[in-house]
Amino acid sequence: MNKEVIPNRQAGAVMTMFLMGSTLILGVGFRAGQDVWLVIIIAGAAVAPFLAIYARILALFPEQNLYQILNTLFGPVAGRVLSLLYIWYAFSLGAMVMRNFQEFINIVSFPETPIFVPIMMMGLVCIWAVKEGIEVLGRWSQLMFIFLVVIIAVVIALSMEDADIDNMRPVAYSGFGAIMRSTFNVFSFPMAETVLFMTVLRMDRERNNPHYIFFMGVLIGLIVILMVSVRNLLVLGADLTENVYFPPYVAVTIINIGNFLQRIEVTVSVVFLFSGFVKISICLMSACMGIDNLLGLGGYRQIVAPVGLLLMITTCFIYKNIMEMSDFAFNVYSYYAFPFQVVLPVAVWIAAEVRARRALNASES
Amino acid sequence: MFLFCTLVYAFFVFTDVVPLVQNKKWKVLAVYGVIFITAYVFTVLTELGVQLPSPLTPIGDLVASIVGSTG
Repeated sequence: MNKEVIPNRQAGAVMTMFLMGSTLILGVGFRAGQDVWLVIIIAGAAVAPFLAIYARILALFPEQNLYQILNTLFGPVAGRVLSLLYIWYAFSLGAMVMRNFQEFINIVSFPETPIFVPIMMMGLVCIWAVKEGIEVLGRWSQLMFIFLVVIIAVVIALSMEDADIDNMRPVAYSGFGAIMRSTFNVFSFPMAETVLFMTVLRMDRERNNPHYIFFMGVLIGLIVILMVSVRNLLVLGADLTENVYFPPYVAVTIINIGNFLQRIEVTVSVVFLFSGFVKISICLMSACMGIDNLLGLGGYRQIVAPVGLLLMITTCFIYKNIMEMSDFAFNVYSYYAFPFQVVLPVAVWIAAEVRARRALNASES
Repeated sequence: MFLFCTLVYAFFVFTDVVPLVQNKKWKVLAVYGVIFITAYVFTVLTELGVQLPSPLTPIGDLVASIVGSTG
């Protein structure tokens, strides 16, 4: 079997761009009003133990992805059932992200264009990238990550002219309940979505440190998301941030430096385009690897095209409109993703630890 | 649009299916065919204006039945 392994830095860059994905265009945690920064920090702390669990599982089974680990731990039948669940999760998440992309394009740029056109353009590039493998995606992400961070930093700096620090006050005004609900949302979208990396990464004993990949990737992603969210809050205020579909885009449209530097919202589109591409590609790759493992096809690249085409057409009918998309993303998704992000990984981790202890005891005796 | 979609599907038939047949990978071809035909049928139905049911609707209903109203 072709063992695809990428260096820690590339894996971390892929993970950071995966996290930025649709988060930077939909915004997160805005239901907590001016406490969005607090929500993101708490969610980052809450996800840390689960990142440790994801990394530990991969460390216990080097050169295996989650699908193979499930087969090893739970046997062929239960392992395949659990694999099927993760295939569905990866596939549905890919379709949801692609729909975010399509809605964004249709609303801000091309309202008259048939929805299948932007989906097809994005989908074909993702199919190509996944066929090339995680190594190419890793190298590309490492290069583009720097470019995106520079864009984000410059745009945030330019936004500061319209920033009002009073938009962040008073602290904790939204109440404990709202902060916790928003924290749960940010935990599941996007922090714990990194669970999918267990399905696409295989750890090399010599070259990879899964803890470094998960913690560094999520930490950098968290800092970027925090900076963008605080910028949105400072520029737009809590009420406006909650009432628009794409807060980062609206925040950037306001930039006007001396009636000269303005209309730079295309930068938001570029960031979303690149990071969304990585996120969709990882979801597609995960689904294809799962199907390959489930059916024993001897290579996931052979089925990338039909799975990608199915993902693209599913995107067209997964939501009826942007209201349904927004409702699912912020009201239902957290509960839907919870078993995949928390329950199953914890069960897998316990089973993996038990197996590792037994193997250790057997070797000692 | 229908022609455009069909051309995209046809492109993948030439680039993917032909090598699979030449290499006699029948199992992969069967899986490929099932997924490919499903995707194409969905595409044709969507192009004909058929409103396909969203797979997320039952998930949303299930979540609402467990945790109550989520709005």
